[in-house]
Amino acid sequence: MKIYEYAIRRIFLLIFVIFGVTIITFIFTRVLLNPLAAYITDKTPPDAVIAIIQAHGFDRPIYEQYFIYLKDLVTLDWGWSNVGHMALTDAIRTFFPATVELTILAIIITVLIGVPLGIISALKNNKWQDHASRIFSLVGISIPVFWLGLSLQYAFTYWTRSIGLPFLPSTGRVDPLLLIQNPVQGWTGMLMLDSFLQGNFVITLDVFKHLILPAITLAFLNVGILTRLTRSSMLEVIRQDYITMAKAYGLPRRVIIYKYALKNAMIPVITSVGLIFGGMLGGAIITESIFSYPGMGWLSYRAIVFNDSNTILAYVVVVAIIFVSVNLLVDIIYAWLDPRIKY
Amino acid sequence: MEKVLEVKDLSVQFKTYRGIVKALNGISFDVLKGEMLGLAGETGSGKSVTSQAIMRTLPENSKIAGGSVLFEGKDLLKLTEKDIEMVRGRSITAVFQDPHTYLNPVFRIGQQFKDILLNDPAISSIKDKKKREATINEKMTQSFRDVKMPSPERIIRSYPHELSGGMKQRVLIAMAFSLKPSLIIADEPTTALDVTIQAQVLRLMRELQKKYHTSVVLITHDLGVIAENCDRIAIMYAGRIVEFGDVKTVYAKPLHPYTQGLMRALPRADKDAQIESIGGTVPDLVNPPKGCTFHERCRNVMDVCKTSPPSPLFHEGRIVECHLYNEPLGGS
Repeated sequence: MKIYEYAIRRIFLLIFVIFGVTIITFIFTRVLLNPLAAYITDKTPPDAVIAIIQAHGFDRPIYEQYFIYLKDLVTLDWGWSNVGHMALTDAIRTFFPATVELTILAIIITVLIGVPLGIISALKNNKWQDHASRIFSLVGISIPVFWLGLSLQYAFTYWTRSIGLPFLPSTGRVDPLLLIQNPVQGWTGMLMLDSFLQGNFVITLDVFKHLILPAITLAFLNVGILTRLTRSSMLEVIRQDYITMAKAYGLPRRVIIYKYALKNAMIPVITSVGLIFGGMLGGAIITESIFSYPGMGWLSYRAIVFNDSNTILAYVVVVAIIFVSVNLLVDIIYAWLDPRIKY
Repeated sequence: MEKVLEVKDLSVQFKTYRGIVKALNGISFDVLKGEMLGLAGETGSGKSVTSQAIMRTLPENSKIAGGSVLFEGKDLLKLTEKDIEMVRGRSITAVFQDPHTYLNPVFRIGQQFKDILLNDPAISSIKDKKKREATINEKMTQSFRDVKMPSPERIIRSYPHELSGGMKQRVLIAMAFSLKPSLIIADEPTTALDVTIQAQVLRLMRELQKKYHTSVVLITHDLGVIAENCDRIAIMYAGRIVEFGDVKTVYAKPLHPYTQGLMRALPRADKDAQIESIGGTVPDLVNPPKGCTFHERCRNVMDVCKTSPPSPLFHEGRIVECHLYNEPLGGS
């Protein structure tokens, strides 16, 4: 079977997975939370409440409510987000690109540090470089994210500022005053990309400064995971017979390591990067909350705290779509890396 | 005859958690130009370690404790890592045991073959890319014809998993002979193949060896294979060469008790005799027995065998390491 046929079949399956996810989350949120909460306040007159209930079908049986919800989902009428103070589709359009921006920077840091460190660790097995990188990754895995985030804020914002050094912003996505002076049109919603494409480099730089600390926080744990995985995968591959063969045929070490070994070793690493990427795109709840970074994690955290069932539902569906798509992507990369895989 | 390879007094040790494994204890042999030398012995006797030491592909926990490996006048053990890379793949190549694991699964055969051919300065120095690719392609096709592979173009585009075991071993042999090396080390090249393919593959190697006048060291535990293909044989036991001579001479009258035991252990079609095995097990090379390493299993054991190791002797047209033929001591 050709790879695109496989992709199409997987996209069909993707629909069913998301369908299943909506059933479960819909039932949980409708049963546990008050769907009305998004539409009324203490001051809403009682007859208006009844009208709202009827308008949204909250008086119907739950399966009918589900179909109403499904219809709204497909027609992109996702309702109101209380915590976002806007329609949910708009909220996602606003918050998701922020997370994408953060995720891309974090995954770049993760891969650029994790993979080379793992390779060095494997090639210098049991030498000091290996021990150093293993300690580093163990520290990365062990440090709690909230502690690291707060420490970075302390070190690079408060402390550097207190001794008069240049410092990094500790919260938010961009300096609002600066944004008013240098307005950016929202093309993709990714502020850094938009401002860069529009030649508004003041904002690009400011957004980048805001991204540094949360991206490092988000990347740190994953760097540790990826370093370990790359190390063990590489160690396994360089013990394989085909590496001995390449050596026995006098191939240069450069070719043996970076061509023959790396392609084999990268197969499990790609899976892991895919999962990490999917996880990050779903929003890093702790990181985004610490840095008050207006992304999906921050939105979902507030939705859960304030019982905003509409937002929770939408969030779960978005995360499900992201995860299934990333998995599909990983599978396609797999087939390209490893010719033994047939679909 | 001209010697291609001369191994002198080579010793290799491995560091393990149990102690130092003395895998090779001063072995000496030579390989003549255009001959096929059989290296025989049980598992753990040091056959593969010998080949790894010659090619300098020993694992990291090993140490060359002494000796020299002279190849075309150079001591391979003294070469720098860069210089040994120039020898590997050009002057010395190898054919390995399991063709299924010695080809990289994620690259096409053509790609892997190309990297090997690029070792040849005559090919890698061609500046024009198109011309170089054409030369490489021609060379690959020629090599595949040499090993009698049908449709070389298809093989070049295949991944290893798309070929059968016998085909893969032919690919390895084609690779080994492609740069016309002066020495090929074949480490149990047929063990992983089924019997009918085994004979084909060996015949092929023999043909190519004659055609290109290459020297081959054939490592195997199959004495039949050596009898059919080799000119000379070296029998290894516990990191030493116990008997070394012409195949005809050694097979006609094996002198060392271990060789005799091996011969008795061969199944024979012409005699209705029981197969005999050699009693006991291979000694632990961390603490090898004192004296002759074989004395615990030897039928002809004498007192001297338990205390002093025998030294190599010329006897009846071969080299043998046994006190039995040491006239002043063992002649009683």
